Amino acid sequence: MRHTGTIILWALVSALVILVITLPINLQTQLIASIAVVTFMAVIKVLRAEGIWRLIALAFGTAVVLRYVYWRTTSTLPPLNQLENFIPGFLLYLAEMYSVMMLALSLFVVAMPLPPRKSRAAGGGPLPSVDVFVPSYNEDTALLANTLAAAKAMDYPADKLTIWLLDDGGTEQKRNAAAVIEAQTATARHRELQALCRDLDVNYLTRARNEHAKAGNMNNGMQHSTGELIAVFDADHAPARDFLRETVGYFADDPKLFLVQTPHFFLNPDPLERNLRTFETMPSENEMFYGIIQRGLDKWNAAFFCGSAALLSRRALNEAGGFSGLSITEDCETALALHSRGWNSVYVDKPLIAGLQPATFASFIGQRSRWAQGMMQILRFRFPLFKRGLSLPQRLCYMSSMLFWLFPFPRTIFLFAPLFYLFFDLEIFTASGGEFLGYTLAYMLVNLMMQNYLYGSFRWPWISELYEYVQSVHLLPAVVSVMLNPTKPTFKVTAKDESIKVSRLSEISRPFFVIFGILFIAFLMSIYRFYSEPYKADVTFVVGGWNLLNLIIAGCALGVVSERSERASSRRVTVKRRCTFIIGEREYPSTLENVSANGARVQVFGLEPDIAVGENCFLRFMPYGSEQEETLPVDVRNVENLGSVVAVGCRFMPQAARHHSLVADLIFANSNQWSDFQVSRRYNPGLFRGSLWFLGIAVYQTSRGLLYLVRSMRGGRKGEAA
Amino acid sequence: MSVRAKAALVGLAVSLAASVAFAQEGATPFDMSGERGPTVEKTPEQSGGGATVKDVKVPEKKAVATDLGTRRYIIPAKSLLLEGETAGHSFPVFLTPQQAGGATSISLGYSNAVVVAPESSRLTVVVNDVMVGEMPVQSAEGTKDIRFDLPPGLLRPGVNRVSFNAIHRHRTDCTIRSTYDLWTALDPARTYLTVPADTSGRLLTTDDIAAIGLGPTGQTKFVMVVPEMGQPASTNALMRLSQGLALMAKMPNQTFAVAEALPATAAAGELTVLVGTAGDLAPLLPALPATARTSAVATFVDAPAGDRKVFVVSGPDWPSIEGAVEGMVSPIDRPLGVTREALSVRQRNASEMPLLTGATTRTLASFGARTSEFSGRRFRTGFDLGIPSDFYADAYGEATLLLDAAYSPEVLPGSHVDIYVNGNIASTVPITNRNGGIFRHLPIRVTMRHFRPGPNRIDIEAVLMTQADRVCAPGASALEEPRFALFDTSEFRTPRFARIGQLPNLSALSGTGFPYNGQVDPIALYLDRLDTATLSTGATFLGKLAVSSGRALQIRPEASALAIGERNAILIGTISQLPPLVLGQTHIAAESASSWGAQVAGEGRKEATRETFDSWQSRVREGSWNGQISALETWLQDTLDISISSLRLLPGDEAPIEPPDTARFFIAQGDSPERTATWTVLSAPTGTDLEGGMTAVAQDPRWQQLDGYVSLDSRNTEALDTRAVSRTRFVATQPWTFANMRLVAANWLSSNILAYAAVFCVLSILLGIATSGLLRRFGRES
Repeated sequence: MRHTGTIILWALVSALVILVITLPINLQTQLIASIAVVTFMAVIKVLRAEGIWRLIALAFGTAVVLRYVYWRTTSTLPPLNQLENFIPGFLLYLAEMYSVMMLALSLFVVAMPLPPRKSRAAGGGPLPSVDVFVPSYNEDTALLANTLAAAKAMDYPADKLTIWLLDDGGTEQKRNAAAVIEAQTATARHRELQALCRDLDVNYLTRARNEHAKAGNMNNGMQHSTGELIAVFDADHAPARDFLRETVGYFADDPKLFLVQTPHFFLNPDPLERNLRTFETMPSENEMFYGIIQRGLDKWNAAFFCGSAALLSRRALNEAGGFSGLSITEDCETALALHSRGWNSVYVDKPLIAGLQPATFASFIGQRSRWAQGMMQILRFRFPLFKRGLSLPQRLCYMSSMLFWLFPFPRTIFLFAPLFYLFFDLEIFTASGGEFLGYTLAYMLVNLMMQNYLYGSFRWPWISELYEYVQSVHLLPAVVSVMLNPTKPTFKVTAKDESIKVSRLSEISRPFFVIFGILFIAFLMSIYRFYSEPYKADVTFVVGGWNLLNLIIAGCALGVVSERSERASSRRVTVKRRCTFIIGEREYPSTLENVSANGARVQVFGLEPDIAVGENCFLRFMPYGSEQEETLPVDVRNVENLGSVVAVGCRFMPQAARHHSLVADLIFANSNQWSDFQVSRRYNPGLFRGSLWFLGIAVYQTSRGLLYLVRSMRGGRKGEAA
Repeated sequence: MSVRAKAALVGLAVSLAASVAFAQEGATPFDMSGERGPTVEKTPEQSGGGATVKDVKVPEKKAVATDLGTRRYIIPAKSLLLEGETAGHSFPVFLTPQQAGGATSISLGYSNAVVVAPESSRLTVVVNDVMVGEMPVQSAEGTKDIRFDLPPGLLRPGVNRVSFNAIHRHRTDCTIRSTYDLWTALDPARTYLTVPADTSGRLLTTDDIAAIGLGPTGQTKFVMVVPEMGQPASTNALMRLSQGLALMAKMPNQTFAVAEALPATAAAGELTVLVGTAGDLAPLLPALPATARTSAVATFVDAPAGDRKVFVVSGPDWPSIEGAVEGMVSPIDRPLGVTREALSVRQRNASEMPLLTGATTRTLASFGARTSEFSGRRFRTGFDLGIPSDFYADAYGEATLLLDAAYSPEVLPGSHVDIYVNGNIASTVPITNRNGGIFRHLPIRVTMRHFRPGPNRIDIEAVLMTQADRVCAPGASALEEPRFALFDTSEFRTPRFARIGQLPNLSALSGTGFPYNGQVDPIALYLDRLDTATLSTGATFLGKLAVSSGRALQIRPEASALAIGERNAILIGTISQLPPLVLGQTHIAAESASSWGAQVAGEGRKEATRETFDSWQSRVREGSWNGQISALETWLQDTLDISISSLRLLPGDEAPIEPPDTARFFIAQGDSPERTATWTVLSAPTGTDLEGGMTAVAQDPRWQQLDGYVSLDSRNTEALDTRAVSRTRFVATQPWTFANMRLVAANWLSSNILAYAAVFCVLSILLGIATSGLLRRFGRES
């Protein structure tokens, strides 16, 4: 072994650390050591020391966490002969140990993530032929038109690029369905999409039966195509022009490469972002995954396929028998299969596609349930820790990704653990106030600091907890059911094109209000007990504080399930692009301000602001990679006089297939605009400011949630009366 | 109401029955001589069925020496207080076969607090687990004497156990505070077994030395008559003999007085021992056996004057006397390499103390504690255990008490069970249930911080509050309904703890004789002069050491302190005679050789100035910046038990001690010059102070206080002034094992707090660097 010396040295230091950590020192010593470590970490964090200091800070954190684990294991469990305390106490212990294990795995994954790869414009040398698969099930034509047009517009030699619309909504099975409406819809869709594809000059493919869902659909696509590489885009994921230029080159570098994955960038907010109004200011939830974790996985050659926005090798897929369809997350399963066969993956940290994510809370939960259940299925059927062919780091990486989805269990336990004491007077965690200070508080502080250190600018304080909580309520039953019956879940396509016209409570919001109510009663109970039982005020204080934290998160979640109405059905993307506004015969120099899938806002110079709404006009501009300007028909929706210029809101009126390509060019062609948008949201507010900010949001969202509840009850009563 | 009336009736019947017994006792003449207590006039008690107790008018000093021999005193202390709502003490009394056969009654003199309610408070006397007497506690006006007959055959030759148990209830008050006002005082001088004058407690054989007994103030004294004490040859025999006698008697407060002349009398608890060659002793003792001129003798003979026996150790020359001494010592000695299961220190409850040397779990029953139910407010019971001298877990160690107990529904939340170790609170368990409850092996963590080598006392105290006590209706304090029960199935569990010898360590010296107890080579003994005071001090000290060690130590007298070199040694002498080297090694300031004991007027003034300064400092504390820091320190100390001085990276050096003028005697310990052996120094300004100081320190309560590297005894205060060790020398006492060294490290780091933080941080940094190296070499290159 080349690195035996390093390993031995590391093992030696680790053994020493473990030895020191497991010394049964007294509380005072622990307290001083905790203070020293927390101070040290704070200094490193404030100085923003990177490089080796990053790992030193993590080592500090790890040591404190391990010390907590040692103490928690040896001195805090209730005695075995008090079963009423021991059983919940042990569950809480398991939940904590799960959290620690996940921390360890994620530390392993992200201890030293690969820096973003340099942008490369593939050129020179022969380019491989590429098939682009756009699997679709029930998405509407306009959405598909944009995606297909954007795919068609990718910067790649036309003779080597074949676009396939893989339509599973128009299969023979569907068209011949017994239900007449379903059959009619499928037939109409079949016809309509065939026409669209013809217009866009892409291939339409459907199959006989809807077997094996998305994986089956793509395997069918593979049988009908021959390209060396296969790019996969979800129906709503439109690629930028440079997608292939940025990704194809890696396959030439490494013949054993099976995957180049790129991040998913979303144009619209998820329900949490929409309802909390954080989309413009706070990094999205998935940025932590694509910004850090995939880079960390990439370090260990374990970046996995996320179902879309990826380029795969046909040779590799053929070897594994195509896309795997055993679980309902075929993407990760396929990657696991290929990794275990010795194939490699690469992650390119640059958003090269833009897509949509579920708009309503219910469909958001539906999507997460699929992921959680799918990961549980893989865990069950292909247990990665013992999967032959994987390297040890890959095993750990996959375990980290799968086990993450068990979070509903500990989250639920953490939620209810304080209630055992507050309502039933059970002591499930035996520790004194001083020990709590020296061990638990230090552990929690260090944990928060480590999280902030690792993910600070991608994930603000308490947001992870909020996301986990809002998912846990409905994910817990889903995960339990897949554990009991691993083959039962079936692939359900997530709806992403819904919009909310009226502010309302989500249809699955009730449990959140019930939980909030219980926690609030517990909160009152803690105040009462604090004053009525002064001899255990310290315990009540600690447990009450814990419950209060849960209450704050649960209150914030009330806001998440109170759906705000959204005006724009499609999100606007800011662009700065010269164009010409043509009205009748007259042409005006103008600038595109922003665009959406449906329309654009244009600043027109020299236009009289008296044009009529609904008037037909044209936008002329130079598409990327084109030599000549082209025109796109629009009609005027509104006009606003800004003094020197007139801002015109207009709706696209695509008449030919080429017009779809022009719209796609406006929105999707330039991938840099997405990176810029992401970077604008990425900054670290710090633990203290972040926590204060969260508290403010939580208080406001609690009141908004309760207001929606009152409104809905009134509405309900009115409905009954009617 | 009817219930209470019934109880009163039962009580009446009991006291009537008792009165019959007392009336019979009245027939035997009451011994009333030699009492030293205050003269108290007693009036006949009008309770129950008439006069039951013979009232005694204590006469002024009218000591008749011969009669004193007929009393076997029981309490080895100047006074004995039974405090609180429930209290008990047991004492061992060693009797010769003649005494055991002849003793007929037990007498006690007691007084009690005025607030003790006689109708609900009882004092019981138990001998060898048989209750021999019970009576209401009703002697608030002065000491009252009572005598109980002993059933024939109850007393046994050898060790007998006499227990006094009191149950007190307050007359009017039901608060927890009030329970501290309850006490019964037993007068040791008036508490004894009566042995008929004819068998008199005379000691006849060597085995009977154990029955030396106590004086009226709890003293035991061996008077060693050594006409040739100035001869160096006599020292070894004398010191070995002292240890042998000490081991035989094992009395808590035993001292030795070396004298040249034979005293005329011997008081109770005194034994005269003559040591010398036949030629030297013949003039003093006509009854010296003739065989002493030819061979070694160790026997009791009649004293020339008075009706008593003296013990003689003699022979034709000193080597033969030494042979006689060894003949006495060897049967009771513990060979090297034999470890003790228990400490034979019986001063507290007359049973041997189990010695806990590692991971053990023992029930309370095996410690001698009993299941008990309790109806009062503050319940207290306890047990004793022994800790080895190389105990090194005071900073981190935690023992566990697995408590089996129950409390009734009337006990209110806010009540608590407290655990005390050697009088220091070690743990508190709050009672939080409203409806009564049962603790089944409830683990209570007990810090081992207050444990010390040798005997240790663990007390369990339950403080019980009830609504009835808050109301405190008349008579409520005496309700009989039990509120609390402690079961003897409770277990005391000590984990495996760190064991390594630490020197200097006077508490280990007093507890188990460490580091002298297990050594193969003889201990160097330096006596600055061979006179009465120095030899008495040496004999007393070695006697105490032998009992603590559980074996007689080999010694080798040295004429010069400088010749000792790297050997464990004991050095005894007045301060001015000790070489500066010795003082330096034991951290005694060299100036004290000339200044200690010489009254200097300035000293007192300096002291006064310091006191004034201190008082001003505490007065102007608030406000100043300095005050803020000391307020922080106080807060840290109070809430987290961290003092600024404990925040240290490495231990500092011991400060040289200049004994203050209030001190009269000290025991100091230090390393030999090369730091391989231990020297213990006993010194005082004068020979009188030396002997007087050692006698004071030999009293068990004070002996148990020995601690640190210097312990100073002063005339006026009970407590020893001890100075804690800061730089410890570690000596391996156990085979080197990783597990033990880990625990030793834990304790060292727990006492050097910053060192742990530093080690923790340095190792974390190393781990970070090592991990970074590892990550750079594995996985994809950055």
